[in-house]
Amino acid sequence: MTEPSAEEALPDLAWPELPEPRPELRGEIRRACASELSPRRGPSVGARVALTLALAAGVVVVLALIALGKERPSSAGHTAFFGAAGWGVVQTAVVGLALARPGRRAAGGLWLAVALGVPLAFIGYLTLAASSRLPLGEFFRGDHAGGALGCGLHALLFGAIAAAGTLFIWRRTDPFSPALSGSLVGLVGGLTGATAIGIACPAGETWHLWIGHGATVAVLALAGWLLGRRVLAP
Amino acid sequence: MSAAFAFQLEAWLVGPARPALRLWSRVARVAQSEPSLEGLMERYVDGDARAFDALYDQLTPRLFGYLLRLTRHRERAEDLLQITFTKIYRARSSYLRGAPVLPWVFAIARRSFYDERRAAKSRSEELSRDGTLPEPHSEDADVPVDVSEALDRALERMPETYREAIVLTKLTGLSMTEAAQVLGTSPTAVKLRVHRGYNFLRQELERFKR
Repeated sequence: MTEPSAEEALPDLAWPELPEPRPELRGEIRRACASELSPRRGPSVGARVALTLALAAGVVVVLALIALGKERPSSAGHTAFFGAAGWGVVQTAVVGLALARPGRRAAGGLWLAVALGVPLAFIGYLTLAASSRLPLGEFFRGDHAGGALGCGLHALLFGAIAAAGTLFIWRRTDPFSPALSGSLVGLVGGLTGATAIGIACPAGETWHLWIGHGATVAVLALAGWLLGRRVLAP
Repeated sequence: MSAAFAFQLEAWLVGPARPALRLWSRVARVAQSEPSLEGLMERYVDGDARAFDALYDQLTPRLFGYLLRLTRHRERAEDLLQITFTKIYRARSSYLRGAPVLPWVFAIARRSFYDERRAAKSRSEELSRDGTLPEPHSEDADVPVDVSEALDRALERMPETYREAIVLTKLTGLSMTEAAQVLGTSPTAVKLRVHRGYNFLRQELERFKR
């Protein structure tokens, strides 16, 4: 699609002039916005990016340290390693390419696809990485469900810490599409929690991975969508 | 002294210095030109009230024109202008330094408008003083008297997505890229909306001429 030509833009018409607001409004706005001004320097983009990455890495490291003493099968180690690698890529892309350049990032459709596609891809990854699968009835009869719920709550807690911290660091920076940015923040927060719990918990059963490790990503992405407009918009 | 001789003399004296003079006049023009919005915003963030005045002067005509087209109501547009500047004031520490100011400000104004409209929808319809519902407007029944009024009416009747794209690019002078940032879409989508908007206007105005 090329730019509209000068002819197409109907140049011969008497296009309306830009009107002025009433003159007193200037004084009112000036009183509200420019009297007793003090310097309000916020962190630079680089500092915000660094803080966000440090926060997420900190959450993962804390749970990794907790997991150090535990015995774990090598398959669980591989799942955690590749999960962490994927999380690192998504986290860096979202922070560096979406949050750091709210007005200048690629079209919203791409990031909407990321916000919807990554949780699905993550669930798919957990399904492929699972080492066993119990029938649903048996999973809920034994203490498996309690274990998965415990993991889920831990993942949610650590993910929420990362997401809330990220929302705070980037608050009021995105008037363009704050709900989408909030969803992306929730997504990376959820991935942080899921990665952290993936390192700490050696379970490889499918239902456990879905409920205990994967659900937090979808839950926090949705919560971020709802919160983003309130927190990220100026 | 003849004019030709004077011209020769001027060329002889000033000629060698002409490139330097041209460079100097260009430097002077740049120095005298309006400071950029981004520079003014950074000074405002640093607490310079005069930078706010300059920002207000540069932004208000376009911003108010945009809000007036969105609201079609002068007082609401003025309220929204005030809300927009208050939000800029509160969010000035969150302004990402160096980021383009124009799309940032217009996006804040647009969001304020939609928030206000959402809130207004949830309120019950206002009653007139005697407690009855207000009479519906009968503007559509009127026949426009001239092309300018017909254009105004056509702009009001136009689908909102097209109208916003045309108001941003044609009336407030934003580039396609800036308008795309404000609308949260791609420049190609904005061009398409503008193109369809002009087609709509053309059809409406042809109908008026008939």
